[in-house]
Order: sequence, then structure tokens, then C-alpha cells
Amino acid sequence: MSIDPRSTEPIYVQIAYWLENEILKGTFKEDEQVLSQYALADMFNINPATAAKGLTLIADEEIVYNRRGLGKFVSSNAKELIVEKRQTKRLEPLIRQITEEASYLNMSEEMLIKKIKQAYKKAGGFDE
Amino acid sequence: MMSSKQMELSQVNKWDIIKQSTIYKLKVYDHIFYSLLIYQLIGFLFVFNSTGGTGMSMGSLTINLEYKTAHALFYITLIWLIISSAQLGLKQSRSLMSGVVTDNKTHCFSNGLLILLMSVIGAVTIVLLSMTAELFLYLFNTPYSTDLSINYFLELLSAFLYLLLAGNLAYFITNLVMRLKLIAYLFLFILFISSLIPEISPITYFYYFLFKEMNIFLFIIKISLLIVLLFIGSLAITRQMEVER
Amino acid sequence: MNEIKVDHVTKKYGKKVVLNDLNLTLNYPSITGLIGRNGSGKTTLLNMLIGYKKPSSGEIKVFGEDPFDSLFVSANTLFVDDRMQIPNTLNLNEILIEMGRFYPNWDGQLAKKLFNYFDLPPNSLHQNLSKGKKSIFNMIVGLSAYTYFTVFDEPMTGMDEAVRKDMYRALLKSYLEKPRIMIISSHHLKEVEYLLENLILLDEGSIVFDSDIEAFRSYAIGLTGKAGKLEKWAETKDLLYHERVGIDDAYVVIKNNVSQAELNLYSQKQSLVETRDLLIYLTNKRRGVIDDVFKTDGIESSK
Repeated sequence: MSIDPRSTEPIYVQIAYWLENEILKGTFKEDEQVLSQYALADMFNINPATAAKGLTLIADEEIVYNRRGLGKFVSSNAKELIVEKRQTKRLEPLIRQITEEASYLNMSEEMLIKKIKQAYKKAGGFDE
Repeated sequence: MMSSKQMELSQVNKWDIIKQSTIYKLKVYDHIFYSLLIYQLIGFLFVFNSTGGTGMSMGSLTINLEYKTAHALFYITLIWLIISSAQLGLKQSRSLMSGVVTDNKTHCFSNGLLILLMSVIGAVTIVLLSMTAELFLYLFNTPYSTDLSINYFLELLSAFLYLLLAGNLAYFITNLVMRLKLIAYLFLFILFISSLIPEISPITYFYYFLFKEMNIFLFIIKISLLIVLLFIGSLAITRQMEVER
Repeated sequence: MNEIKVDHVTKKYGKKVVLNDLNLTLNYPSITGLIGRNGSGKTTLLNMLIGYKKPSSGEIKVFGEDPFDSLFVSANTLFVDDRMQIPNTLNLNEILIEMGRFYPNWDGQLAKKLFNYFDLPPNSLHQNLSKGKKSIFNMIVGLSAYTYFTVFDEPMTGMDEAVRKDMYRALLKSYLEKPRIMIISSHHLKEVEYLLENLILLDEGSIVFDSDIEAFRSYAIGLTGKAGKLEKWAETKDLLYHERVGIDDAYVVIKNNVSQAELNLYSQKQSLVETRDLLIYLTNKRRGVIDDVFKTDGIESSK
């Protein structure tokens, strides 16, 4: 696993993003421990303090909770929180960008929806 | 889990470090003792050259021979010790220690220990080689007489003390020159000027003070005092030395 | 108390001021990057943190003590650079053994394994190694000693890229094993960036930046837009750099303390500023750019 050096996002945000995805995928289940800052640092080849910042970020959003001396554990409503947050913070701005770009190119709404459907097929989707 | 990663600062014992530093320097400066072997070999050969012609009489002549042997070896060993001790006082010697655990005090103490060691080994080898020389003389039928035990013990002790003094003096002067250049040059300059006038020369006083001391116990006390003073002087000088690499 | 504190430290060599009223703190545990141009005073600062040199004024406290001539500090610190005093009368293997005798936390197993991994010849003398292999050896000593405080001053000189990559990884692994206080001075900011927690930028003896690495990364923003409009507005902000691009566009770099709305108003494109570029912009004192040297005016070129 590695961070994207070209991304404008701070590294700790990228870590948080990755953790959220893993929670959504079910790699870390409810009340299970996520990786420690040291494990994350080892995996992503970054400073553990940066990894810790990522953990703190999602802890502040209550996606994970802290157990003193043991680490961060997945909250019971983590998935819902993640979905809600990412929809508003990420997906919707991206949708705005896509539609803006499509309108610059004079692409019709049907054409855009068609392309989105194609892309969905390719991605396979993460839902059951 | 998290707390197991906590690091503690390590405490160190300065005597451990002094011991460790001495061993380290012995290993790094291994040429010191190899060079001693070569020096003394040369001295030994010199001795035999000079004893070649001096025949077979008894009495005072052969006793002179004995002292000649010891003196030649002594002076060669003295030169070796002075050079080696001076090397210990150089900035290089201090910067070498910057690669390991050290401070100026432990560095100076381990140097003192090394000078002590060199003096012991120097004195012992002088006496042993003198004995060997005498053995050869005996084997080649050169008659002589000696009062073995007391002579050799005195030789050993005085050689050791003189070497220790010379070593500490060389070390002290090197330190002085390294650290306090101005004072050192001034000191040596005054010494040189005053030595031209034997009456007021400090060297003359020194000579009478030490070399002509007849009482063995007073001699030991005087020379030991000088050695200790010189060492303390070296310690004081090295105290605020910066490290240059 | 177990940290490194620099308090109003100034260092002069004669009349020349090499370090000017420095204040900084290194906490346990952390990896701090020290960057700056050649001659900015980095090596002098590091030498004083280790206790090789004394400040002209001000105070340095390492674990609560003056590091100068302190046995306690010496036992808990290590300085890795190309002037490390490695003796030449012992071979590499013997040197590792000696290091083990002095440093209480020495990990001989790690040293051996790193030794083999980087193909160092155990019976060689240090002086007979290539520059790269010397640096590798010095780093192995630095990482295996596990001293509470370790200083790295351009430790990767002479190493090729592949080896550097491995070495930085080894540094991180060693740090994860036992987090401690590390400070690294390096010209290869891009390579070492992700390992850092904090960054200090030194310029002509003064600290220009001292904060976490993320703050440095997001310190400035690069804007591209129509020259006249952009440049005029940028002049009123904290301008760090500007140049003409294309026909009538301009690229400017300003401090990132402006609202997104304002950015959108005056520029067409926003981009990250690479850390190594930011370093240059923050420390550039020269008037004009290198291109000016090669400019010719009409009179000369006609000859």
C-alpha cells in the first residue's frame, strides 16, 4: 500500500480514507481493532505520527473509538457514519465536477447517465 | 503493547567507560607496542655492539658494562614512551573517541592509564632485556658479579618512575601546546632562555631536585608528586576542549 | 525533561554570525527533518546538539543537561555523518564489536543482518571502502546503536538511489521498533519527506519554518492565470515566487492563507507546491533567475 504523492490531500487524510474503505469492505468489523499507528506506518512507509493523525481524524468523527492502551476499534455505526460523511464530502462535490465538465463538453444528461452506467459495470460495485 | 515501545535513557558508569576506552585505544593504537619491540630490538643490538670489545676483567669495569646495557635500552624506551604519550595528547586522539561514548575526563583518565601501562611494560622489558644481555655475557664467559635481586628491583622501580614521569610530561606539554598555544610557547621560550644561564635555569634546579636525590624514599615521594601534578594539569587542560573531526 | 531544547542560541566565529538566536524543541519520540541551503548553519547546529561545539550565547539542554562534554549525553546520542570517527586499524567486523561494547542498546543481530544485506566485506578497513559503502556502514552503526537521540547529517552521500530507498526504509523500521528522537539533515527532501513528523528550515542562521511536515506541504499554493490580473493581486499577498508562462499567463506562488473563493477569482488553476521548490522559494535571496545570466541585450548580440 502506498500513498499518492501527487494528491493534494494531506497524507493523514489519505490514511483515513483507506481505513474507511477497509471498514466499508468489512476488513475491520464492528468492535474489531483497526491497525495501530505503527502497523499503518510500516504498511504505508510513513511516519507513525502521520498515521496517528489519520486515526485521530476518524476517531474524532466517531467512526472508531479509543480503548486506552489497546488502540482504536470500529464503532457499531461506523459504516453509516462513513457513508454519510463521504457522500456529502466527497461524492457530491465529485458529481458537481462531473456534471460541470459534461456541460462544458455539451454532453446530454442521457449520455452522461449512460457513461455512468458503463463505469458502474466495470467497477463491479462494492455493494452486495 | 504501546508502552513496550517506551525507551529509557541509559545510565553509564564513568569507570566502566574509562576501562572500555583504554581497551579500545589499545586495540586502535596497536602500533604502539609493535613499535616498542622494534625500538628495543635496535637498542638491544646497539648494546651488543658497544659491549663487543670490553674484555674480561673483573670488578668495576664489568659493572660499568652492565649499566651501559641498561642505559641504552632505557633511553630508547624513553624515546618510544615520550612519542607515544605525546600522540595521546593530540587533537586526533580526542576526535577518535568522538565515535564512541566518551567525555574529556574519561578520555584523559584512560590516557593516563595507557601511559601507566606503557611505563610498566617499558620498565619490565628494559629489565628483562638487561637480564638477557647479562645471560649472554655469562654464557660467553665474561666474568662479572652482581647482587641480583636488589639491583634489578631498583632498576625496575626507577625505570618505571622515570618513564611515568616522562610520559606524563610529554602528555602534559602536548596538551598545553594543543589547547593553550600562546602559554605553551611562552613557557618553552622562557625555559630555553633561562637554560642558557645554568645558575638560574629551572632545569638545573629540577636536576638537583630529582636526579641527585640520594634517599630512595624521598625520591619516590618527589617523583610521584610530580607525576600526579602533571596528570592533574593535563586533566585541567583537557576539560573544556571542543571536538574537532 | 527527556527532550532537546535550544534556547536563544547564537554561534559566532569571530565576527561572522553563523546561527542567530535559535529556539527549538525536539520531543520524544519524533523524526525531524532539518533542511536549508549549504551554509545555512545546519551542520553547526547539529554539532552543538551533540555537544561537539559550544554556543557563543544561549543554552542547549539535552535530556536536561548541557550536551557539551557530558558522558551521559554521549552514551545516549550518536552522530552519523561522513566524518564519523571510525578507526582504520580495526576491520569492519571488529568495529561493530567495539561499538557493541560502548553502546548499551546495541543490536548486534541487526548490525550483522544489515551488513550482509548490503554486501559489506567484513574484513575490510573503513578507509578502503567506496564513499557509498562507507555511508552504508555508518548508517548501520547509527541504526544498530538504538541511542535515545540520533543525529543524521547527510547520511546518504555516495549511495545510489536503490540503496537510499532501502536505507530510508531501514531507518523507518528501526524507528518503529524503538521510537526515539531523530533529526535528519538531508538535501533529498523528496525522498525523506514521508518519514518526517516535523520540519525545520534554516536559512542564513535563522529558523524560517518550524512545524509539522503537513504544515510545510500546505504552506504555499501555486496559481496559474492571466498575467496582469493574477500578478497584480498576488503582489498584495505573501508572494513567494512568480514567473511568466506561455504567452500571457503567469505562475505565482503565494502563502496559502487565502480563501478558496478569492483563489478562484484571480486564478484559473491551483496546484500543490513541491516541497523542494518551496524550499527554494523561501530561501531565495537572489535578484532575478538564472536565465538572466544568459540574457543578451541588443547591443552586445549584434557583435
